[in-house]
Amino acid sequence: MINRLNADDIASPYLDDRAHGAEYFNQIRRRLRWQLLVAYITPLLLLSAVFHYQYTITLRQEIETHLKSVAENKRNTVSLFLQERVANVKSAFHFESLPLLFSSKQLGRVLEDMQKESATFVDLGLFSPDGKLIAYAGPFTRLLGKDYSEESWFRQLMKQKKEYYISDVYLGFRHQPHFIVAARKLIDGEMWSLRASVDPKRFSEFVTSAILLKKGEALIANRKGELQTTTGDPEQREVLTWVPAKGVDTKVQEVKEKNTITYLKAYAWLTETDWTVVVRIPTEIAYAPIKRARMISIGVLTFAFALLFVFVQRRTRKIVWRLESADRAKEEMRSQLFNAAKLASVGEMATGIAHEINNPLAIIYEEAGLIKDSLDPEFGQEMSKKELEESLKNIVDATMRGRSITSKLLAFARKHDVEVEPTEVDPIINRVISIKQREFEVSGIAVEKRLAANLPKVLVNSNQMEQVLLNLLNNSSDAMETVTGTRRISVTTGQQAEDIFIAVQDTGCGVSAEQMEKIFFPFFTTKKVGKGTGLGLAISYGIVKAAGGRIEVSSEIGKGSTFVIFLPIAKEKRISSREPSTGRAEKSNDNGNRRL
Amino acid sequence: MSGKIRLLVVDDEERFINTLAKRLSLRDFDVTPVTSGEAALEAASRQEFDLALVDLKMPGMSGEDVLKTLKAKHPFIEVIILTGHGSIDSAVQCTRAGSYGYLQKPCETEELLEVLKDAYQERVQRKMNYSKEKIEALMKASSCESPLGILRKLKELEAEGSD
Repeated sequence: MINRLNADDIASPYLDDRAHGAEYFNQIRRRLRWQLLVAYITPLLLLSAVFHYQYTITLRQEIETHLKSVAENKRNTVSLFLQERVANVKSAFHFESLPLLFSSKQLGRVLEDMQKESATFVDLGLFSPDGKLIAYAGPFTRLLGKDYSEESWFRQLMKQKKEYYISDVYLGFRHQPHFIVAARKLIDGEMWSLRASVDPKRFSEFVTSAILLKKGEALIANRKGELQTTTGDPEQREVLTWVPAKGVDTKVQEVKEKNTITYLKAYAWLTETDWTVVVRIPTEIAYAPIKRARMISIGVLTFAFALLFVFVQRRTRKIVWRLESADRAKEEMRSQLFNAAKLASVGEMATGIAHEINNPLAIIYEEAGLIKDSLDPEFGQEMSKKELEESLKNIVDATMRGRSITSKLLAFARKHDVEVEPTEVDPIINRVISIKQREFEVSGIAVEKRLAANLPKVLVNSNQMEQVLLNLLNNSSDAMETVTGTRRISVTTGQQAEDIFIAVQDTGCGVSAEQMEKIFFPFFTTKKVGKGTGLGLAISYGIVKAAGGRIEVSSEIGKGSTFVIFLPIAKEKRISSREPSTGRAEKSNDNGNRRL
Repeated sequence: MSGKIRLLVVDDEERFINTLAKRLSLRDFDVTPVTSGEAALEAASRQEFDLALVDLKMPGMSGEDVLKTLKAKHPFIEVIILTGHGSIDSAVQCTRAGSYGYLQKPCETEELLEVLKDAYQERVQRKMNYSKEKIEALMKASSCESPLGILRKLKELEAEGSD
């Protein structure tokens, strides 16, 4: 049974992710900053919006109520004014006897009395039932005798039920803007009328004066919207854009006038005539407090946002700094573990190395002993110059042999840098095999190298890769210790798709299915106590994974094992080792490798 | 027999055994250096040795196999292991397989000589014991067997004792 394992299928704890690069933390910093800002700002914005909305509504209601009350007050005063004027005319009609009124002189006296009551009266005229002005007091004496029977006010007064009539402002026969207050009276079966004209200027002053609304104005308009509070030509007067139907209660409306100013208007209809009091104020002014409140909230919010931004910025920096230092600490621990494992793998080789060093030492000792013997008169064996030279040469050679072993070993154990760069795999393989060469020879292990020519470079750290290979070779030679038959290790390289592979195959004892499950776990070992630390493969897995590669194992009990390292071909020229790992998750391949 | 101790030295380090051979020759040893286990067995089959000094790690036949084979074929030879990478495990294994001593390289000359001499004494002792037994057996046989029986016994003993 062949046991297989793709090292990507197992999770080797603590070892498979590397420290992250600066870009990774920048990303976290950006994301965190946005999330925090959104988290802080959203409720603030919502709250401000709700408050602002509520405040606006309340303020609008307040303004509208105020406008309404101003309009109603004005309506009441105007109403009172008109009632008074009607009462003046009516009382003049009622208290004076008709024949007396025929005399313009007498009428003049009545007018004087009325003008004492209100200076707005301009003139007074008495109209016969057929509509002729038969008596007149006032400045326009030429009107006397004119026929008013076709005048709209006269017809209206005669026609209507109400005994008095108030006209719109118009020019009339006198060609002067004015409006009239007329009353009728049935005398001896004939309908007589008394009419007073009112000066629109004075009336306007009365209407527009004294309203409790800053920058607002009070106006009077008729049903068509024609202004009655005007002193100029009534034909040229301003016509309001919109007037509500009579009977509708006091109403507030936002209306855009023809001259493009938008007004907030309150309407209050008069009962005496078809006039409405219009109190208007430019919307811009009416709603200025709202605008001001909005500006203040925007200002406060902007300040709050600025504060929040500074706070979030500092907070984010602190959090990311903590993350980074945790990551650095993890990386440091990882690197310490790697070093420990490296030293352990050197330790595992110690017996082999001892042999390599003790042998030249033994040669040196014996050569020295030989020279010493030649000096001893007891033996009487003086060395010839040639013999002495040979001895010394042997000593020097043996010393050099020892030194080459120790220096190789030291070079391996001392290297700490983890810089990755595009590296050729051949020199790595050759270096590692040369360390183990002698040991393989004396253990009767044949090493077979089948290295493909012109392989592309891989992006690895050569020291770490040496460590991986040394671990695999150590394992292979240990696996063949008890093997009596062929002892052979083959190291094969080649290219497969986007990867370079290094396969280490041995004819050792093989790995069982149970062992295979745990083979890449730290501290798992099948070697004798003191021989293996159980870190070799775990560390190798970590190194290969960090380089973006993977390890596959296949093994058959009693036949041997094959470990294949796949490493991605280097694409860029140089990449820092702190780049995040790009470990691929290839779950199965063409060989149908079984997940264990 | 020259009177010198006949020593077979087996080690793949040629320079080492040559030098060692020279030095031991000065100290009354008759040294035969060979560089592999196979050569050692061949030499032992051609010539009788008193002692063998055997390295453990060698290409081809390992020192342990040499030890076992020598002891099996030549009961009176004393084998001493001299190895570069000694361990307690292998020392125990070799002692069980019948090695007289287990030395680590580099080994001090005095110590090596002492072990070699002790081993030689052991061999002499064992051989003497064996001869004594042989004579006793012969005496016993001569007292009760027929002359033909004595001859037969003698032949048997000779066959056993061939070294």
